Amino acid sequence: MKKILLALNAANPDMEALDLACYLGKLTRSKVTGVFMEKEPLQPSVTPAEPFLLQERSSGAAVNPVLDQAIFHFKEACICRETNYLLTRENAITAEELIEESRFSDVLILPAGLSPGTGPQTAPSPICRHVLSGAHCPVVLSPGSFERVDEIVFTHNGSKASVFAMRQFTYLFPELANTPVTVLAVNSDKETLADKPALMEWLTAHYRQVAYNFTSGDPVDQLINYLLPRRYAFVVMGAYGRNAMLRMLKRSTADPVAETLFNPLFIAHN
Amino acid sequence: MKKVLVIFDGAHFPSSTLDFALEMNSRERILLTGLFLPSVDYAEAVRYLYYGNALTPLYLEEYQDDAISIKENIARFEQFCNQHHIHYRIHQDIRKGIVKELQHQTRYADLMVVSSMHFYENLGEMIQEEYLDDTLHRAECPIVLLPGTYSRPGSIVFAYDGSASSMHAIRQFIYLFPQWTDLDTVIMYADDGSDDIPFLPLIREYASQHFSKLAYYKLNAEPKKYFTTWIENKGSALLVSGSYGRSAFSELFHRNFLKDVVKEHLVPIFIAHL
Repeated sequence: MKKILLALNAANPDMEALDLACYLGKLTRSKVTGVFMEKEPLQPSVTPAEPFLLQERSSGAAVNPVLDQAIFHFKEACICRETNYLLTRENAITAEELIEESRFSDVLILPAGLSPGTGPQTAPSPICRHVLSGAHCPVVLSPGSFERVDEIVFTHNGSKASVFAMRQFTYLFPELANTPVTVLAVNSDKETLADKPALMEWLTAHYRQVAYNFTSGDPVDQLINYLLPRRYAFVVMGAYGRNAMLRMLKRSTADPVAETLFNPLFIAHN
Repeated sequence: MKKVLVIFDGAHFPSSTLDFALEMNSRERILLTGLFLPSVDYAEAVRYLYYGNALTPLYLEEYQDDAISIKENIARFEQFCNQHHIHYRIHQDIRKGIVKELQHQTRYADLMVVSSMHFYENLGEMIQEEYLDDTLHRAECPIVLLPGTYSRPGSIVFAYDGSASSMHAIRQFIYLFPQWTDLDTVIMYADDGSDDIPFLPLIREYASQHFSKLAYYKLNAEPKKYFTTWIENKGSALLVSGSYGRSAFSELFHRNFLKDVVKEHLVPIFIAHL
């Protein structure tokens, strides 16, 4: 059982992120812990740092129709998707509190356009960027739509970070051991990566079907091209970092408001 | 199938690490990778002359002896693995840059098991400590440091200080040893002030989902002085820490609290740093 933390905008919950969280919750037989962000809480948070179960709500707590509505929808949505849920906070959460809570979670599901406002937001939103760089656990950026996972794509450039992300992903989702895995190694200068045998030894110990795909050229371009026909691929990023993530968001359209991810992105940094 | 690294340096054959691997394999099959290293890092050796150890004349002889003892160790290792039906790999032909090579090997492994007593014992205490320090700091996967012998732990002690690093260690431990989450578990916080355990509601929520027999313990009154006694009295405990020596956690005790535990070969330690 893992602690899956899902951050949602109370005024406009991202249902695709919820789909993804519930999929992962069912996969790992875990509860999805929902936390909500809000633009301006009607009243200042009563007990910001002290989480407690919702049913223990004290009579003095602020009445907040937007949050109550969001919590209601979250519960209903989890029940419809046959997923267990957990609510530990009765107030909306700030970005800093979310980062703090990520330290005590196994994985954080983050909508790329997360913002406390009601209107559409350019992805990645400032809050998303902030949480992503500060998070103390791996983060999954949810795509524009999510159905299932058919393939895992590991990006590899031989760096410590790229292998760290693969390890964390593997520990979090051992249930995906039978899913086909593709390693996408891109190196612009060299012919091949020297670490291939070591990586394959480790990967084949964990996964049954592993393909190694080496291409040269610009890593991010190669990754984007590779992912174009693969809607159901789960992408694990440790290599190529932030730059790749931003460009993957950009590829969809020139319209900044409609920027959206096509694949879930797992990002772990150490 | 997790990939576990065990190290054999020179003629040493630390059977405690193999006992540990055997225990892991009994729960879930592992891939055991034996790393056979020379008894001395020939490239680095010159550096250690400053310490006054007269190693140089011994090199040539050692180099030749090494090849023989490594061969013997490999044969023993193979026999052990075959006897217990453990999947294994052998990595050898490493002559120089041992610590760097270890770093590379740990990048592609889930766990490394090291016997703190036997690891480069032949080089003398000072160099052994430096090798061990260096290895622990550079390792990219979690490490289990065993004292001389290994027996199944009866309880788990988490050295917790609320930091991201201590939480990282707890998480990695749960991922790697789910079989031990039903043991007696103590989340231990050390502080000589009157501060409460940091983020108690959050750690409580997280830990209660994973451990069935859980207690929180705050070590007051000079943790620096009493920690080693306390852990010794815990009997067959396994200590889990997010750092080795250089972090916020050690400030609460003293710089080298873990080193004392290692040095005195008190209990096995699981170290996973960020």
